[in-house]
Amino acid sequence: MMIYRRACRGTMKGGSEMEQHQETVEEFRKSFSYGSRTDLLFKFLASRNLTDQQAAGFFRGLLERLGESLDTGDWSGVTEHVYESQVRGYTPADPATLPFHYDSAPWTPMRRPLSESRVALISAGGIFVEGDDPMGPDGPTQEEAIPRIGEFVRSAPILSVIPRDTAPDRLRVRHPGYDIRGAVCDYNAVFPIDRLKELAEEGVIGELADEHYSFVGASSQLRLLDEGAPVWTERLRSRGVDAALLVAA
Amino acid sequence: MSVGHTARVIEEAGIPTVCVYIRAFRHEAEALKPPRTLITRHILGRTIGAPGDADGQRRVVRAALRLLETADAPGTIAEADAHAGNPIAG
Repeated sequence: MMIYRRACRGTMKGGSEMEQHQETVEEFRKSFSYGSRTDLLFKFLASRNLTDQQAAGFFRGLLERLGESLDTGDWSGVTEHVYESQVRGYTPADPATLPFHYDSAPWTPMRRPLSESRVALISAGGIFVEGDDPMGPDGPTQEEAIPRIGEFVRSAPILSVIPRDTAPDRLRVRHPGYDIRGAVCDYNAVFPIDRLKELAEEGVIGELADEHYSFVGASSQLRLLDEGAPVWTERLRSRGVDAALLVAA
Repeated sequence: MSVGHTARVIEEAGIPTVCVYIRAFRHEAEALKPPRTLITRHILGRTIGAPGDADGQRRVVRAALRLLETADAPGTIAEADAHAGNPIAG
């Protein structure tokens, strides 16, 4: 399978601008992951866990389900297809290749029932409050942040504090590692503060802490372990938090 | 990885934690072994549920919080049931 496109101006070496570059399947796949066709919902297409045949199969299956949805108005097949393809793309053939492995998990039992506990939310989804950008008043837009992913993963994560009663229209999201469109529509997709408030009103939770937190999960793991999480933990403790709900993004 | 690591540090300091991951990153939860993890059947960037699907989101949050009280072994990983993790909703 070959895909043809006209070479971009400035990338040619001694050839005419009209010269055709044969884009390989590999180049096409990689273009979705921090390349010319970046789309963080589909960056898994660049994954080594998928063969070219499987990547091609994703498009074939997508078009098939799209065709069905156009007639039925039911988009669940498209969603399910993207879901299953992401699982295949992200799940490594050999989990031993992951950089971190632990033999055991730490454990602290609940001190009191959930219905009497103070709960705090921590999301790795890059949520912050308007006017309190963790990267400063001139922090990048989502589009500007995406190409800086390498800088993010080398940096210590910055904790954004989100007071419990922050007006919903003041919440912002920026994260160079995942597709934020869902969170822009409804921040509860990665920062379910409204759901927690409802559960507190129903009495399932004793009460919500007076502040909640977010950071960009795409960050240096060593610096998170050394400089981030221990300080955050002290903050939770100072607020009398009994239990924390953490959301990966 | 960040959420698993953060949960480990908080839990070690004496505050119970529960994490929510999507199925595509289950392998990260297995390697990082946070104390309690709920896995949802959602796509990247919609960990808790589809935008606007308040009922589905609430089921996921409830299921995660329930693990705080029901999990009895360090490193527990539970999968959200079909309804809690219904990717069709929304």
